[in-house]
Amino acid sequence: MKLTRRDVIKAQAAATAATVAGISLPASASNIITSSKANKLTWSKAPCRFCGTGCGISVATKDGKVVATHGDVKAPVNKGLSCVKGYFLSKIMYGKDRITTPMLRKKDGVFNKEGDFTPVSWDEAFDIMEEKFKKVLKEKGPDGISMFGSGQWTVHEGYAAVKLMKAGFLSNNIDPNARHCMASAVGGFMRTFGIDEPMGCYDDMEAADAFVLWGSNMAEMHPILWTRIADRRLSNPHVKVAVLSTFEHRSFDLADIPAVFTPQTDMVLLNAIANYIIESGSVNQDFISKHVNFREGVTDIGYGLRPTHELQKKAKNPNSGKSTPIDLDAFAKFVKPYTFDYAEEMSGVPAKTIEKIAKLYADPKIKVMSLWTMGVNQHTRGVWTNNLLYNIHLLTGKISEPGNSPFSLTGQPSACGTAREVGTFSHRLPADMVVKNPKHRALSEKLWKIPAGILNGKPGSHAVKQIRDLKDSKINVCWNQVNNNVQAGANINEEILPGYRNPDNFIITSDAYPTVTAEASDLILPSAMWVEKEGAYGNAERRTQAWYQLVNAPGDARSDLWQLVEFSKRFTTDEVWPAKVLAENPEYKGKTLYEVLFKNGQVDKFPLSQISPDYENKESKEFGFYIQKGLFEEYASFGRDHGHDLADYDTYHKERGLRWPVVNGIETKWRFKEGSDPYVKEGTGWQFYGKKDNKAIIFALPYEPPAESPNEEFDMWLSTGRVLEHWHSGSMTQRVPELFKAFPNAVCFMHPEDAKKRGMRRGDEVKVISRRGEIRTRIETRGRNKPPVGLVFVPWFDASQLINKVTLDATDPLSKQTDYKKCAVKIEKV
Amino acid sequence: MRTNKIALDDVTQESHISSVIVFCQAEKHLEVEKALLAQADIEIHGSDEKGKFVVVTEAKHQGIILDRIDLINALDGVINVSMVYHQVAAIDELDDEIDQDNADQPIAQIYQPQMCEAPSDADAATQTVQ
Repeated sequence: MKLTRRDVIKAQAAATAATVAGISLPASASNIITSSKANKLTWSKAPCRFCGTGCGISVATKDGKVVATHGDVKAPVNKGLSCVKGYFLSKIMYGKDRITTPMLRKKDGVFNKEGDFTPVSWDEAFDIMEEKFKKVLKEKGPDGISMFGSGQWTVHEGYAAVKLMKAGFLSNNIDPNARHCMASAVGGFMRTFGIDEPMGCYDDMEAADAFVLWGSNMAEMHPILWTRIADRRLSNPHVKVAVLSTFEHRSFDLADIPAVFTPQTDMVLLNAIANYIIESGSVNQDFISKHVNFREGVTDIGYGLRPTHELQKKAKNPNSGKSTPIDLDAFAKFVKPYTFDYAEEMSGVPAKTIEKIAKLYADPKIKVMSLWTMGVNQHTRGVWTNNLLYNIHLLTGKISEPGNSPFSLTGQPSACGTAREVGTFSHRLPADMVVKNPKHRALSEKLWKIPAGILNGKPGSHAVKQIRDLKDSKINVCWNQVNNNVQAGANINEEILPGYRNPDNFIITSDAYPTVTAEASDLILPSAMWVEKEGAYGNAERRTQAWYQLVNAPGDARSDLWQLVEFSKRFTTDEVWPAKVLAENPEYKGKTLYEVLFKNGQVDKFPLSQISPDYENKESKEFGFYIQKGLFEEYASFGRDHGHDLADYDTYHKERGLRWPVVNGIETKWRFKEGSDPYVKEGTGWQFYGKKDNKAIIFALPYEPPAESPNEEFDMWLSTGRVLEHWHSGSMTQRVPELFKAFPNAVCFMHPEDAKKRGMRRGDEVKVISRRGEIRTRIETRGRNKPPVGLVFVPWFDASQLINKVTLDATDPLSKQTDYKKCAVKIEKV
Repeated sequence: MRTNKIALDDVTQESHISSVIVFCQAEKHLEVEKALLAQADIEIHGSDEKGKFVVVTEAKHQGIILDRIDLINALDGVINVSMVYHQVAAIDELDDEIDQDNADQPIAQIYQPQMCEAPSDADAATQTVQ
């Protein structure tokens, strides 16, 4: 029998799928004997680059290019499956418009803010950056510069960035785009548990009897996890799935209990469930008496708008997260008005449906998993709503056990591993520490080997404030890495673009593709992406995963890690640290930031001989030491013995990820529970050790209305979000032509009755207008998203229709996360 | 300011080979099998006779593969199509004959990619999606 290369590749494709499916191929297929040279590929592992699920991918390279991928059969997260984004990972690096050289706006051979992008060398790019940084640092000090990063940074990159900004430039003006997606989740965790990230893990999906989706559309946004839930539901008839959202979407296909609610009334529903748990006698008295404190939060906290905004001036306790202790009786009294009838009136969800959902929580025999993402987080009461979700799990003691799991899903691949754990937020330090706390600063100074007392104790400008500060000329240099903020940030016309084009400002953007952010900047730096560099990500279930550099980046593109570390060579301590500190610590005088931050005896501790001989590692070879290992081990020293233990770095190259805390080489699946978490003492049952007394907090918090609701003129709710085929702002997925084809332009999803009322038909061109701006798009009355009467949904991936010109930059006053899910608009025919 | 331009790849020199798992209602297995066989460019490489198929397909552009997946999804009785494997190859190499004198590797084994360092998580390897 003659065999061609085609036959061999097809046999390999079939054999891989057969393994995943657990079926055996006919003997005729599996007995084919071929030469290993026939389809000679080098296979390696890497986590998928796209979302927070953290699927394992097997990646094949040939002649220096990624040519094949499949779901890693041995990866516990996805067990060999892939979603449409991960399916075509081979293509994301090979888009035709990949940036391969630094580009500076120039006119007549010199930098000019109004000039055209001109290719320049790395030296010239760093020269102008150095000049701008030094000028601003001299005139305004550390508060005049900023960095805007990402949950797509690798752990190493985020750590190098935070160290360069906070320990090098002494500026806390660094924030990740995770501020736009996970800040409220973080706020919720810190307030209720005193320690960030979910206590449970994906294993809960095979153990739960009920799943409740609070606003999340997992079928499209977390398809692999949805497959696991669908699998559980379809093979176990007793399992129930409740899907709650402000519009009907694909996840409703699997819903036993569907519910469409009026925006913001998720808070009413949650309090109504808490009230039902109490009134039906379903409180787990033993659990709450041992493991829970009750507190009542202050109310009327504003909308995180500029202090001059009307709504902000009206608030009694703007931005306050204060609370006072109460007891169960007081809490019961607080939630008493939240009856099912009241909840129906407010939310539009029938009382009977609310009761069905409440019973899933109240019945002690039902193991329930709650899942949520942006609907709860991008919410002007996002932290509160996270707190309210934990309330119903704590009242019933349904937490930290297989199947009983309040689970905050994550959007980006390393929003947990990098943005949160590494501490790239303006108020944070590694391992959940904060800049405000003098003890945390002292420990960080010690671990970083920098002079005592040097760190800046004042929280810096968060994402939205950075944008406002750029517009107001308070910040004059901003360096973006791995994000597309001009597309993703809210209120582009009034806030973002004026800041970028402000003649006082110099904006740098590192990216692999010419996004709208890159094009609105003054200098573009070409970045290496995904397996073009060694890296590590941390997913939503605390799983840290590492990968090797598998191919080289094209042209002059370099990793963000290299960019950050190389740039640090341009500054000496004398230029950026106070003279007093240097006088007291003369050993630091005259050193470059590169020397004090990266050649500090720790980061440069591991020689090149420790790099895997099978893989390239461009940065390490250039710097002369195994930089990824050095950065990781220094970073890990922050969390070891503090509940954030990571394994040694080399282990992560061998494992398909491990869930922290990793103690004595063993990962932790369920935190806070005796027997599954090594930090919990024997005989205690549970210990919420993020709090000093080991007790979690149930918060009494009321419903408060959104910043903007429809009125007579702006008579519709606008909700925004994404669709499966496009990852966030689409800067990568739009390079994969068939993803683009699957959903070419954003549309405005609208209820047919609303269209009819306005004399509009499917396909009509319309304007979506708010008080801030407008976009043109087309009406879609059918299809995958079905909004109720009075609400429209517009996905935000499409750079030709920037919906964020329309959205409001109201934020949660506690987390500073923007509410992209609700503002008032009107729709007009063009 | 310009908007995102879509870089359409040069598709003439490439071919894409993909595999998917098709899940259908067990009682509709035969009907779905018949419907799959009736599709051009779709090959069934294996099945469990109870609602699962291993399907392989090749196209000059991977967008065509997505279209075919949509097509399969639309078949009566199909519950889900899971994507697994995707490889890009130079089109002019695919018809090369394999020299079987140097044969050393049963196809049954090549689906287990040889990672440069072996995983220690032995349990994970035994888990499959049902």
